[in-house]
Amino acid sequence: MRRLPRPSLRLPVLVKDLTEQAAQRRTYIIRFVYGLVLFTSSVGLFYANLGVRATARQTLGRGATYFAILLTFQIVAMYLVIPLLTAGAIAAERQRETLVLLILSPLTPWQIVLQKYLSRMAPVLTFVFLSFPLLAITYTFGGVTVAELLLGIVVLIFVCLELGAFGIMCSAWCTTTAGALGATYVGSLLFPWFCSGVCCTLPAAGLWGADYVSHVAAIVAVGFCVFSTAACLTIAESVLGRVSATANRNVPPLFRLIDRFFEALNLRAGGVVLWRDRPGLPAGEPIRWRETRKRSFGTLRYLIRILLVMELPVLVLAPAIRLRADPAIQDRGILLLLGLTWMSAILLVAVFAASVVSQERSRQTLIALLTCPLSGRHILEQKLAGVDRLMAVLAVPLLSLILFECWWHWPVSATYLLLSALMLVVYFPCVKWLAAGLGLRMRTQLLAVVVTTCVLVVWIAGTSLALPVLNRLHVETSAIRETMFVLSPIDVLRSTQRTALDAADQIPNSSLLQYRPFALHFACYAGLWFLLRQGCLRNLDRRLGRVPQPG
Amino acid sequence: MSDATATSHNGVPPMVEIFNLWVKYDSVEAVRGISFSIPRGGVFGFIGPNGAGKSSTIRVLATLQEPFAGWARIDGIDTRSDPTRIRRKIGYLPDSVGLYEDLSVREYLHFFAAAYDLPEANRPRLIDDLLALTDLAHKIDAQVVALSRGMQQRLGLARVLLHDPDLLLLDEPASGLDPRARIEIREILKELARMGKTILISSHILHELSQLCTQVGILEAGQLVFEGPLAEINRRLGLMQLVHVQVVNPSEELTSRVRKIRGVESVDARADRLSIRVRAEALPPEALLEELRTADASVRMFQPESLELETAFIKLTEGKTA
Repeated sequence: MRRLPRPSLRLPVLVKDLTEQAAQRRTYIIRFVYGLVLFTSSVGLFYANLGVRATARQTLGRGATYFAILLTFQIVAMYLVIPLLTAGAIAAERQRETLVLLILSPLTPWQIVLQKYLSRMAPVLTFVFLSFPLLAITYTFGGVTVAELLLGIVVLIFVCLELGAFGIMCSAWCTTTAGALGATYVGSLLFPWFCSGVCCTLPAAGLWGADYVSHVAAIVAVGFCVFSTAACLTIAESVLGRVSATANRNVPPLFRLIDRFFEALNLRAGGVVLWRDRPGLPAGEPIRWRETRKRSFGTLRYLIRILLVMELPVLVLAPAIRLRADPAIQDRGILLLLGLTWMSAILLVAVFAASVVSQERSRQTLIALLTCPLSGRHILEQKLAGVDRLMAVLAVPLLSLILFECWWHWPVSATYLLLSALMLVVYFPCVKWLAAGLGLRMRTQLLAVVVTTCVLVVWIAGTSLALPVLNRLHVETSAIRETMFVLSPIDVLRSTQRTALDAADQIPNSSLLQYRPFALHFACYAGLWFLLRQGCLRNLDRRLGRVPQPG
Repeated sequence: MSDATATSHNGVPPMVEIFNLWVKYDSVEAVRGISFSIPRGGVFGFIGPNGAGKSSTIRVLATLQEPFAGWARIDGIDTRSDPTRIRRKIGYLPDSVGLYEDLSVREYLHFFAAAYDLPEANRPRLIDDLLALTDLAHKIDAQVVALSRGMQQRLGLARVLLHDPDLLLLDEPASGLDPRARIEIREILKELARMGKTILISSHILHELSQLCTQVGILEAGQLVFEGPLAEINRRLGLMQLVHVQVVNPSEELTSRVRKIRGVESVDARADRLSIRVRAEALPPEALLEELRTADASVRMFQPESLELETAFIKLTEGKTA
């Protein structure tokens, strides 16, 4: 009897990617750490609010709040994690020059994109499923209906699927993993799926005070998620065939697009040339010359673009907030703008400083440098010259905001100016040396950028959230409060801003003692700057990968 | 093996001395106690299967490998005692050239000229000379990324020659190149050898090494299974060399006279030539030519083929890696 052909579901790319992930130790470490953070924070949250001896009556109805907090935590965490997981899916294949092999195989672009997508969604869904037991606990506290619980979970899953598809699209579009990572982060904040996910999920969970379940909003959100997921994957599929299968490591595509737009605009204006980069030839410090004259982000024309991108929102939003916003929220708005500007500036410095050595290593150009008679210290210091220029440029929007606040609150205290100046002087070098040190230890540029970003996020968020958590746990003392203030840049930023808001006449009356935490904070960070720099320069030749010069 | 501990010959140390070198990566011993030396002006061919330890040994000499056991000296200087001085004496071309894609050929060479702190006034002329040597003069303003693989390799060679190093460490310089590009690289290396540079070249294209090297080292599983002149390999393994000869007066009698020459294994009389197989250690090509003249052969063409290095390699190794 003739045997029927057995149906085969061969998914070679998916199987290969999942096998690779399963073989990597970091897969389990990340999952364990994520679970640890999620469960520890949740237990902390329950006990902080209810205490160990809470009765059933006391817990009754609190579930809605916890449900909303947990859902928010999961969504924010997914917005941080999913770009990391998806950025390299296709872009890394392109960088390794293995994408061309996939394209030449009998697999269609759709199969490649879908299998890549599924391979990244599998670990994402494990992260999502980790929170289900906790969400079930919130249900037992009451205040959440089964419908709300299910809707919240469904929307969470669909937001993850949507963001994953967007990450895959960026990975197919961009030529480098780092570029795909940046594009996914920026895109996920700028484009409407952020709204579709968060704006519909959170009211549904009652976070913003809504005590009803917006079923319609949730259904609309899910519908939008499905649509945008399909759209992103379709774009990824069409891009996969068209974009070069090998990495073009020059200027990022977005910048090329902007270049073309402005050049066309300039032609209409008569071809005005305000500045022309004249790199010349290196005389004495070749690495510094390349970093500041030849590399895309080191040249003046690109620094001006970064300046404009950072400065324009400050120039528009700061007066708008002060002139138009409700007086009650003006100060919070300015603080938020200042915080976001700081965060963007710090992330840019971190990304560039982490890349200086790791990028050379990834592109195999470091070896030629290491066989030159330049000392390791010279190599690193010259490599960081571009980052120094970037720091100077990024200080401009921050200074603009600080000076605007001075003008608005005039007469402003000298303390405000002094503290703001100290922040500019101390924070940037700290981040630069931290990122450069981590970049020295990492083998790839992406890993260096990811680890640096994670360290900064954990440090900044940890030092600023520790105090509220301790407060909730009733273990707060004045010593702990002062220690956390000394460590926390966000608290110092907030307090510095408050010195500008306080009436100028209040400042001279206050005791000098109240500035002790500020002094300790800056002393601590100046010390950290020194230690990080020393840590980078010590054993530098060995870290770079060559025999050190004795003595 | 030559005695690597005998560090001087007529008071001048060999250009390269390696003694009992061990390199370990975690639990893997990539190089296991190798010793050899290269005299000044010598061309040393490093042969071995992938993973035999060639690149690790070259990295030790290029001051890029630490830690390792044993010692390595270049021009009498220990690589660990004064690596900065060593770096001025060597030109290292890794197997992956790794060029800066945002630079033009001119900028790239000026970049490294500045890195070696060469006098600024001399740089343009020096770079022009090197580009002429590597046949890249017409590409001086081209972007590095736009060069073909062969051109990029030649640019890498120009880069390592910028500071006029005494020793060139070339790790698989011809890998991935097409035949024309390989021939171009080989011709440049021959020219450099004529200029008196000491060259250590690793390659798995054995035919090319046999045309270049005065000395070879065959490495397998981190150990040197042979080191010495090519003639020594031929003698030890009894290798044959094929010589093609075209004579004006071919005849059966001449063929039989050639067969009787001492060292000739066989003679294959073809339509246009005699293909003579000789024992390489017993009858070098110049001696064969002399014998042919004695046998009244009127020689129009005399073309010795390269030595059968591939045979030697196969005989000496089993394809094991460290």
